[in-house]
Amino acid sequence: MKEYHKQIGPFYRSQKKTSTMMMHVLIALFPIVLFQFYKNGIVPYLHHKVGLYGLFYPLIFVMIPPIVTCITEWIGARFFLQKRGMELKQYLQNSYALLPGLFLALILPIHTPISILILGAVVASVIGKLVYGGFGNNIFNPALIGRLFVITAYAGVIVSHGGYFNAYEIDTISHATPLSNASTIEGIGTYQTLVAPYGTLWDFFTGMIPGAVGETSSLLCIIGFLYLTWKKVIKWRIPVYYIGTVFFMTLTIGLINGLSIWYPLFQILSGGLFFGAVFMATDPVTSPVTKNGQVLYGIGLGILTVIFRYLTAYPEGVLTSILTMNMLNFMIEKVGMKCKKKEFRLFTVAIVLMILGGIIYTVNSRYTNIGETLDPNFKVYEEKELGNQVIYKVSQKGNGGPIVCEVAIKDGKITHIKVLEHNETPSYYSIVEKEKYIETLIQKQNQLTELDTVSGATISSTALKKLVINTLQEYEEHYEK
Amino acid sequence: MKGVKLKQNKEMSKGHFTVYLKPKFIYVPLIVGNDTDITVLVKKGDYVCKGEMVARKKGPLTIPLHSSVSGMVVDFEERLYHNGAYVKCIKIENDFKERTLEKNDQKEISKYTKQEFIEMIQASGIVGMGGAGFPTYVKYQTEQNIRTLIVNAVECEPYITADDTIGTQKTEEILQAIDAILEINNIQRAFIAIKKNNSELLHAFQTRIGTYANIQIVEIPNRYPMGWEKALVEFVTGNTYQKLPIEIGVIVNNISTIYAIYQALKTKSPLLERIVTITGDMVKQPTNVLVKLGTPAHEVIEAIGGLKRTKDVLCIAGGPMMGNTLPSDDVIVTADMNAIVILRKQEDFLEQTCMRCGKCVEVCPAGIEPVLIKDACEDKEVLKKLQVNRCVECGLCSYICPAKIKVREYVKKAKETLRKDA
Repeated sequence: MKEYHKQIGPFYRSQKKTSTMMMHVLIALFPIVLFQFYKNGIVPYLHHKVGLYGLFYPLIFVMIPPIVTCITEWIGARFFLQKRGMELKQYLQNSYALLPGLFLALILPIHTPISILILGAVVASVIGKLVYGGFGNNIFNPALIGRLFVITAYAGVIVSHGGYFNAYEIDTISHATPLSNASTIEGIGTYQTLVAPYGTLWDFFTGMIPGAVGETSSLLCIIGFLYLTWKKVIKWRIPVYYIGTVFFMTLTIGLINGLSIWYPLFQILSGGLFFGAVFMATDPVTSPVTKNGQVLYGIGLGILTVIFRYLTAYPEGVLTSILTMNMLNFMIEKVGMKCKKKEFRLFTVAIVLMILGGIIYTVNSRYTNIGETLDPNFKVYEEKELGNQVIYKVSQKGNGGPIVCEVAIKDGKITHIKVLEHNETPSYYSIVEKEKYIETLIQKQNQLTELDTVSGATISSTALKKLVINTLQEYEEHYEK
Repeated sequence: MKGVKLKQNKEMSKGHFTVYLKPKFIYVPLIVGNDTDITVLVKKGDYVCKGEMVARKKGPLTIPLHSSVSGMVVDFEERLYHNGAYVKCIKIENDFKERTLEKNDQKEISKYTKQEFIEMIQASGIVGMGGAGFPTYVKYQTEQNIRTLIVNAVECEPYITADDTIGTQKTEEILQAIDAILEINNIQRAFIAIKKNNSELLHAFQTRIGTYANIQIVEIPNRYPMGWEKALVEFVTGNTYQKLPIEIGVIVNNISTIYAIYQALKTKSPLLERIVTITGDMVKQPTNVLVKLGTPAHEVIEAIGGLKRTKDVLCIAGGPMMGNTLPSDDVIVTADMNAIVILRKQEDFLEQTCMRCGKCVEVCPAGIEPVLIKDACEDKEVLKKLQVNRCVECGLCSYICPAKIKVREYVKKAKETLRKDA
């Protein structure tokens, strides 16, 4: 007779470890990093737009934030977390500091200055992760916190450095990203105005369109999704229901407006939806654990993205939706648990369908009414006749409040526009001035609907364009009848 | 599909069979399940026959305990029981005469009325031999109309082949017993649930089943825990129930229990022996052994050749998923202990931070949320909402956890918290 060891069962453990799961995520991201190197480095190099440094710049760009987040976490863990009785080495081994940094690099524009990139990575680590107590305790996705900080604080700086375009695109494509372009178009848009400026839907699918560093290629995101689902790493329900919801809603909106299947495809292939859905929304720490919760989380993301894209001034919407849903995660979890009961599930399905219907209705009434009712953001202060000229004093709401202008019209033609006062962000407005947009507006006043807005100063230039359209309309109503 | 495919490791003991029926002493633990409220019917110095009742569990679900040998009651001793506790036992010295109380007259097994049948299996002390230890007669003593009998030969725990052994060795007897049970209790049909990949057992039944019109074989996917009553009933009948399968007219019996019923009906002999799988990578020759109840397992292990090494090994009562380690291999064999698995000491994983990957929720066969239970360990209100008591302690949450957190232990603790409250 002998004594045996005492251990707690089960005595079978699966081979899978947290570290192997994180490794699979890195493997899934690898093709995306290579692709962005091709798109932002090799292509411009082959077209002689950049030199050797420019060729390798995209790789340097994605390597800096991971290094910064690792260092920040090391310092942070040493000074803050260690006091709470955590082993420093053990913490760092299990905190996977690399990933938020890499994700941050992939969701920023390629022309983010390195200094801002480093600052963003520090914010991602400290505000996104360390203040909550480190890995596993954070409420928001750290990379998204970093991005939110960079974009809100330094949007102008990034745009003035070139924004989303890489060195090759800046010469071949004159529009902003597909979705900011879409937001400047009157009404819902057409294939010619939405897709054609960037190529075909195939270019959207493969990722040869302007956008954040790593988020453009839907194809590689789908491959990553299949790989991670096969390896059972991610919560597959979230991306499936997310993309499904956006597809269903935009399909309905498109069909009502007489647009065929290309329209929802355009919507789901733009704005980094696939990247956000597959890699950012499935971040395990900040998403629900219950199966029903994951379904609801996906649908909620889809609804929010559609709201952001159609009904707010922020056309991209994906990353903002994810941050918003991160915040609601605890609630979703509770609802998800209750959904195990059949009656409650029916109730939830009914609510979700009502919200879906309501939003589709709101979007449609907003877009189909354009041109029929007067723009509420447009005001006429004064209208006086001076000889054969009519002088208007009008305003249109821009980014920082009304832009007030004097517009002179002679025989139905605008002869002169003078901006009297505005409160636009100087860095944006300077681009409008540099591009001589007002002069362009006067020159092309007969083809205003086809006229592009100024990339990098979309909101201000759109306001000016609308101001001109509305003034002309006002003139027609009074003098041509 | 529910459950997880586990590495089986059944081949090491499969097909190996031997008997060990000559223990010098046997010990009758005064415990049934976790209940120690037992009346002792003998005293030191008494002579008992083989099959004589020596103790009885009190209360409404009474169960008799029998001596599996004839001989003298020599002492009362504390011995190791398979739940890891030391329990008072009746120690009986075997005189190897195998004297029985009365002459066993054989009887046609289907010539029982339902009442006689229930009395017989109650008097025989038959309990669920798959590990539950629930008295079998209680299942049949019901007002409900029994429509279906499911014979559980799934044995989904890795390593164990005790049910497989009895199934392949006593196929004809088991089929006769099922047929008799159907006739006596007026049950319409029976299903024998066998794992898809257990081709030997499937073959044994398929070749003999032809003459039994009401018995069918159901192939069960090779997943853990498909042998769990609730999962099995749902898979076979497509229906679910709340507490007991009888709610939907179903009775589930383990295949070893069916054989025990056969012996009780045929020879009026109580449950005195069972097959125990002694296996694991530290056992020289893993084998299934027919032993008398009350035999110390240590003797059996020595009799089949002993262990490869004795340093850094674990002795597990039951399978590697649900079993627990014992401080010693001198555990007393009881009716509900189907295996002793001896493994090398497992890697001691450091528990890492939970990253809420949701794998434990995904995998839980009871459909509860182990990670949320772990988070709410002290909050009784939340725990009630999380339906903690539906946990069957199958261990899949601990198995799957990539952070190597022993999730099941948290859930067990939560169950304990709720029980104390009740």
